[in-house]
Amino acid sequence: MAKTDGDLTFLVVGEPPMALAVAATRVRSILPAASFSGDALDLMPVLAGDAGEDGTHVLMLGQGADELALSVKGHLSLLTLEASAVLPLPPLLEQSSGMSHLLAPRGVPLMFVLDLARLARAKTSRGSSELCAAVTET
Amino acid sequence: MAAHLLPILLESSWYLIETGPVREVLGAEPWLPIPRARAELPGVVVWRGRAVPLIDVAHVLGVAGTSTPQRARTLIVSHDQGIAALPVDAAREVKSVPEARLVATPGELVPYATRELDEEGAVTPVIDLTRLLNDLHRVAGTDTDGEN
Repeated sequence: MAKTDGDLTFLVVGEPPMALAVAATRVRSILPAASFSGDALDLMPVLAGDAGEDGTHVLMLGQGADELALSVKGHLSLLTLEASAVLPLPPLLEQSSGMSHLLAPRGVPLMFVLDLARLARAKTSRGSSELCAAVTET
Repeated sequence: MAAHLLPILLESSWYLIETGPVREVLGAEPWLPIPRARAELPGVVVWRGRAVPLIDVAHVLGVAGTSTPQRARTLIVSHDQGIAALPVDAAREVKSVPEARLVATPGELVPYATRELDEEGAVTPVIDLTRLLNDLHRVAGTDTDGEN
């Protein structure tokens, strides 16, 4: 299927139903975890399963001056969906999950999109060591 | 004045909820678990093109097992903060009974059950769904939002 102007592309980490997505436009680079020495938010506890042959990576995300590094494991892939399949989460879920949207092609819930704005706010206000709580707090 | 009550089955117990908030009774809906979610709010379903929180009412009432199973029916309910989906094991035909037949529950042995219906000795608690949903939003800190 050809990509159209209304389509949105995501970088997907892991395999559904435990996969997480990040808007592809926010991804600056992807590094092997072994080659990264900075401070990264560890998302691996949120991603089920082993890294397997896909290994671990650090996603360098950013827009303007904001930059965020996410440590992830598992398969990386791209997913393009129509905008109508990208559903905003209601506040009740957004608050408790650390996710911003649900990807639901053909109306079937597939995976969540990380709330990068919330992660960036947490980074600014609390320091990187507590960033994981923004995603994993229950 | 009559109360219109929907009987719902959770595990092996029947409960009643007022029909006012109930928008639809669906079959088993596919839902996506939220990583590390609170037990009472384990996931999300899609209803009419929007993401809707799945509320494990069985867990809230203290009758659920350790995990949220797929249940045969899904109630779609609306409330002040928006829409929610409640998985239940079964739902029966709506009962219309005079309000006077609903009596106050002594204490609140079943969470959110402040009234009950006694039908020839068979007592069924009436769940205050509005209070239950409002409490969930208050805990989540979203009770001032106008839209779910």
